[in-house]
Amino acid sequence: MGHVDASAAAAAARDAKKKRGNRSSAKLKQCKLDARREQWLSQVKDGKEAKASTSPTGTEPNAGSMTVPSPHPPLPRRRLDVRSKGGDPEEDREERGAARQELGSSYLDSPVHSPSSDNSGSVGGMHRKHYNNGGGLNLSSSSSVWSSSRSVSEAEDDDTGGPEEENGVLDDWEAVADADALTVDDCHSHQSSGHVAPPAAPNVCTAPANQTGRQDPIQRTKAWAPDDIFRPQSLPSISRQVSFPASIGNGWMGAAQQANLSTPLTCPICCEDLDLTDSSFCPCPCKFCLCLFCHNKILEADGRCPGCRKEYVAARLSRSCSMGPRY
Amino acid sequence: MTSSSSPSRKVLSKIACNRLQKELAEWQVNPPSGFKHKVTDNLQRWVIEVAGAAGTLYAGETYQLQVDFPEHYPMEAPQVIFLHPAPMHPHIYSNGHICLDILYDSWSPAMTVSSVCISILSMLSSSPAKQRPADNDRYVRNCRNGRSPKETRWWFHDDKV
Repeated sequence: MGHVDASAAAAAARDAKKKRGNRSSAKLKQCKLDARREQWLSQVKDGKEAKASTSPTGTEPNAGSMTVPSPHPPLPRRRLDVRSKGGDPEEDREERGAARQELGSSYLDSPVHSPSSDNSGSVGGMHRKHYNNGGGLNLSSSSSVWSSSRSVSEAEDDDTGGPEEENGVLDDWEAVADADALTVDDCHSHQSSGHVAPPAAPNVCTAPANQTGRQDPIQRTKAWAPDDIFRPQSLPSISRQVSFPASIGNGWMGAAQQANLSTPLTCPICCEDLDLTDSSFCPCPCKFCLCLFCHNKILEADGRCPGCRKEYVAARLSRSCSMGPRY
Repeated sequence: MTSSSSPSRKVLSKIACNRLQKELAEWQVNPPSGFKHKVTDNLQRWVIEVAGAAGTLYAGETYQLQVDFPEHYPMEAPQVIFLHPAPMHPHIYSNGHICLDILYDSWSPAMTVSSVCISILSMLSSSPAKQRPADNDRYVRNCRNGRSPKETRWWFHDDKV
């Protein structure tokens, strides 16, 4: 059963590709047949997504976010699809690609994402191509934010007509060239390009897939730039599973940087360089900073701050401590 | 005769040398307005030309200021006196001694030669009349043996000039 279904799926995919080439003629019967096959393919891909959502080893918060929005009714359908696609190598490849993409999407694993960005991007593009060609079932079967965004893009594509599609394609290509397009726009442009260029479908579909795959990591890294800057420094002290300590770590790093910027680089008394201990040493509320050596000499002299000419509060304590036995 | 040198003149400490070299470099980059440092090889004694500020009683006049640094500068205040002829000022004696609190009790290690010069220029600019202090003759007579102004017990009673 599984093997027969797998071969049928492969044959259906091939037929779908051929009929995409024949869409220029646009006959009613062929359109109906394409719609039915696309619906079937969408069901198959829903099953693949189910596998992908369960197989990746993401962090607990990501896993929680993935599982929470999924409804109960589609589960049995996914199970059936998973069983039916047991040993197809192409399906396994697509599943691996989807898993990699999901792994890359989590910002906590961004170091893992950067080396495999090209592979995950290309495979993700292929996956999107098949998924976007699906019919209306995607709208009803959407179970996560990711797939819902895709369904929204498909709806937009359905609304537009023939000539409008051409204009949309030009705008989308310009957006891609500017490299400012969002993820949803990338999906839309990819789908439109698939429709407009039927004879060279495989070549044209692969090239924009690579471009979109490459651009997505760039956008994600840009979006996470402040986190990425702080992430390596916060690794030793903050656990990856919890997000709240991460924000505390970022605040601490920011405060440390601000403190470093405000302190002078040399002691205003002896003009020597201030090391880390001297920079963090601030004996007076007026924020007059000096090195420990000069501070000690001032304590021996008159114990007043050179900046505001007030008695050092700590100086009294240290004096009382040091002068205890004498008194 | 009038330019008295400090009796206990010692060599500058390492910290004082480092600090004075930095101050000299800063002076050359950004000198205070109306002051000109006479370049010499002696880092311990600075001779500075003071030009009276415009719009004051001392406009157009120049005076010589001598700054001698102690061994433990900037923990100790430098000795600052006017060379002959000293300007006619209610708080500047004819022997060049200056009655200014920041040179004695109110000295701070955060102060520099530039800040001292600006304070002296401010003191000159706020003078109401060109006259000597009331006790000028007696004080000069007591300091005839080259006494340092840092040994005097000053009474800083005037906050206006």
